[in-house]
Amino acid sequence: MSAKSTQRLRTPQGTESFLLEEAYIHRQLLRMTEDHFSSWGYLPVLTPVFDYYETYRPLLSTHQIERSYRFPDRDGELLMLRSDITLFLAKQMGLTLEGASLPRRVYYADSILRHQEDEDISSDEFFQSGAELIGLPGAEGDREVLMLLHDLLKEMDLPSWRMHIGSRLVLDAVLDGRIDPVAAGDLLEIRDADSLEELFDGAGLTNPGARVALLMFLGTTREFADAKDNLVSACGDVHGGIGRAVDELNTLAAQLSETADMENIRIDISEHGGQPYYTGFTVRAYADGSSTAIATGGRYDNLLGSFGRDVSAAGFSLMMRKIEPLSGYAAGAADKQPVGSAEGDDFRSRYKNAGRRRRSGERVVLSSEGSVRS
Amino acid sequence: MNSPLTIAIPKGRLLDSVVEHLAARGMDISFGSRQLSTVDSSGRLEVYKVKNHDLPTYVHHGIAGLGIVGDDTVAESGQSFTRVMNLPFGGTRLCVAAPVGSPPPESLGGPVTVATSYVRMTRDWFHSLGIPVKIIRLGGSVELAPALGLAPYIVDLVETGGTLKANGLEVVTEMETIRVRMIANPAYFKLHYREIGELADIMKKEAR
Repeated sequence: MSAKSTQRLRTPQGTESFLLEEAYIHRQLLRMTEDHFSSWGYLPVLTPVFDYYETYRPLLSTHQIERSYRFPDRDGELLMLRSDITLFLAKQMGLTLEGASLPRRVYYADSILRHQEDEDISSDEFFQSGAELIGLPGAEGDREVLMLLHDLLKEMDLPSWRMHIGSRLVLDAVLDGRIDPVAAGDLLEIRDADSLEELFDGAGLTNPGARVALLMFLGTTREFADAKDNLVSACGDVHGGIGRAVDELNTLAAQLSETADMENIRIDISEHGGQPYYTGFTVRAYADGSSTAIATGGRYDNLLGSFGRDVSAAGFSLMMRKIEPLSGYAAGAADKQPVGSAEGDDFRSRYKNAGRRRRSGERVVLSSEGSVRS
Repeated sequence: MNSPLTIAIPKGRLLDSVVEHLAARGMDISFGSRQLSTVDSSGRLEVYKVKNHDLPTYVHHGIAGLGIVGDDTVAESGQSFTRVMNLPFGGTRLCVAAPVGSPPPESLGGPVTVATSYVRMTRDWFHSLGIPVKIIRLGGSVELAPALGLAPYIVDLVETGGTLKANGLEVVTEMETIRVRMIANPAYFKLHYREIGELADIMKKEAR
């Protein structure tokens, strides 16, 4: 290959393309995901690839700003590439919900572009699919979103998976407005109990050790129900915000037990969602074989209000590229439909043979692989 | 018994302490000649022996779910991990050092040139104090840099200070304490938190 061709074939760090069988699996899984959303009455939406940075700036944490790609347009306005579909979608929905009947159910499947150092295989371009339930507040909405995700993960036939459910309300109640939730969230993310306690102590919060113990809780819903009263009373806040937030999470867990496979559910209060806009439950899903979460979501009741429509919302995003290599459904889809070769001595007969077989659901090529040299 | 937890342990200064700590709690590890992976005597751990600075990469990608490593190596990797527990050995200090009698860099009121292997931690520390810093990256033996005129200050790990003294240097500022910890890939931790908790309990026990 010439030096000129080599130069032309260079790929910028962080971009990703997937081809042939890999892309086929991607599409099959995506189709199944979209069918799942459709069967629950969700409608597709598409969001713009870029938008004005100023629109989103107040809603972004410092980390998110650092990760985003920004550039000026021809008039000097600063634009931002779509780094989070939920944010871009919130604006679009804010613009279109005027007079609309609620709730609205929407889903999406698209790329996001942001720099994420902890994702160095494809560190700038990710494919997300997800769903949003707009205008259905409270437990009814929480349960619908969580069961929508639960049933989808089940259908994906993942090796061993779990949904970890947390609560932003518990975090906010524990911090009592005295500590920046981003700073506390960063320490919670790495489960650094010592530094958290130091932070709480420094801010003058009472019972800092007990507050940390509550935030670090991770266990089954039954274990949570058994432990919650002691955890709350150790914080010295039985009848205050902490007690109410914990009870709300416990009620949600109990309600979920009516419909979900509880071996796949954990209460994990260290899950704060990772985004500053969460206001209620949070969820992350993990599967054996993936080094990061495969889905993330929660409730964000104030987000649409930032775009002029004071409507509640909850939803989740799936990292499709993480799921594809693990999904039994995706692997099965590729195995079940191998590509066959048309039979016949000439093009006409091969074309007719292929057409007949395609009508019965086969995938058929007119010229078999290897019949032409590259 | 469940399949063993996977753990990366570092070659180099920490290896002997790690092996000793595990053995004293019933988890004997022995690597054959040139062997880099093994299962401990209790069957609880599948152990990978990796280069210290590669350890965060293995844990980040989930190849090893757990790792034993110093804060310095994690900080330089730029990745974040679940902190499972602190270990009672291998602790050290990250310090700014300079020829004996040099003023601390904070008092210079201007740009500081520093030679170091700890580029990220050095940059973050100086920036947090608002001090402009020019960093010269070196792979090791940074104590030579002031004597040879490469940089007036160095940033390095200091245990006893003996190497500094032998090269006419002294600690001018202690930047932070470096601990050795057991870390976990965050997703691995979520799926194996019970087994990891049991391991941490054993690791915290007194030696047999």
